[in-house]
Amino acid sequence: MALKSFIYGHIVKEEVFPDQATIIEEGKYGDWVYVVMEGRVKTKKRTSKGMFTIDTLGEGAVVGEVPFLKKTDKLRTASIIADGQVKLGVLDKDRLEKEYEELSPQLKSLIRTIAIRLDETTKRASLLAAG
Amino acid sequence: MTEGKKIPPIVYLSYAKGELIIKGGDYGISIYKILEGNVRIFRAQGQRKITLATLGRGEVFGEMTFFNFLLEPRSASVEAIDDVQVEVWHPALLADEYKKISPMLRYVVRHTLNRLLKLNKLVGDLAAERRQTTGNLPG
Repeated sequence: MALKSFIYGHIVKEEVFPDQATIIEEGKYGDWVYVVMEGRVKTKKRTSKGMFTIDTLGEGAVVGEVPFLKKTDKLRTASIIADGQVKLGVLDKDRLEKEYEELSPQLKSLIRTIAIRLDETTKRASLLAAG
Repeated sequence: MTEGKKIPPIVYLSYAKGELIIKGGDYGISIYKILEGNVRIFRAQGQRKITLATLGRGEVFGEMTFFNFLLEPRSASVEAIDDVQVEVWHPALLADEYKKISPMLRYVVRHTLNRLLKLNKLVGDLAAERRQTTGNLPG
């Protein structure tokens, strides 16, 4: 499955990571948004019983967007780990930011809410998994 | 942006403590923003109420139906924890704008939403699993 063509126009840089590389680390600062171009990644969250895998995402998946959409802080809410060699595209943040800022306050808060819910649900899943 | 079109106005509603604002399973379409007070989002399971979240001032709920294009019933119920005032948006207020946002931003939002839906299911499964093994209800 190839990436949708409009995505290429938004990619400013391509990065390749080896298997098990930490692409994004939970708790660190950053709000770059990535698209998986080739390969797979795992989203993981720290728990009292070690790292818990929340999801496995493949080609076309967007990762790292939660702090970008939330706009409260720029802390990474989960870790992203390469599952085999993976190629990621870094999205043009300024352009995406501009498009996001142009939305009405209502639509913006609706989208923000989705990101907040994803963050909360991720926390809840990892707490349940840790028992 | 919307000249010549009839846009439903924003309305303001109040709910007393304990009152139900959204009933899970209904085909409601409104989106709510909390101006005052707190609400509890829950799922009814038999006689039990499983709390999914509590929200306060400035937060939005009822958004899942909007992103599901109003095709799905309400996935959870919402009740007032104390006296609550809300701003109510009709989805038509935002639907046109959502259709017009850039494909890239919409793609990002769509993916976030899909992951949330997948994760909601995982949380439901994990909670059910825990109930079976421990007999306790988490959260």
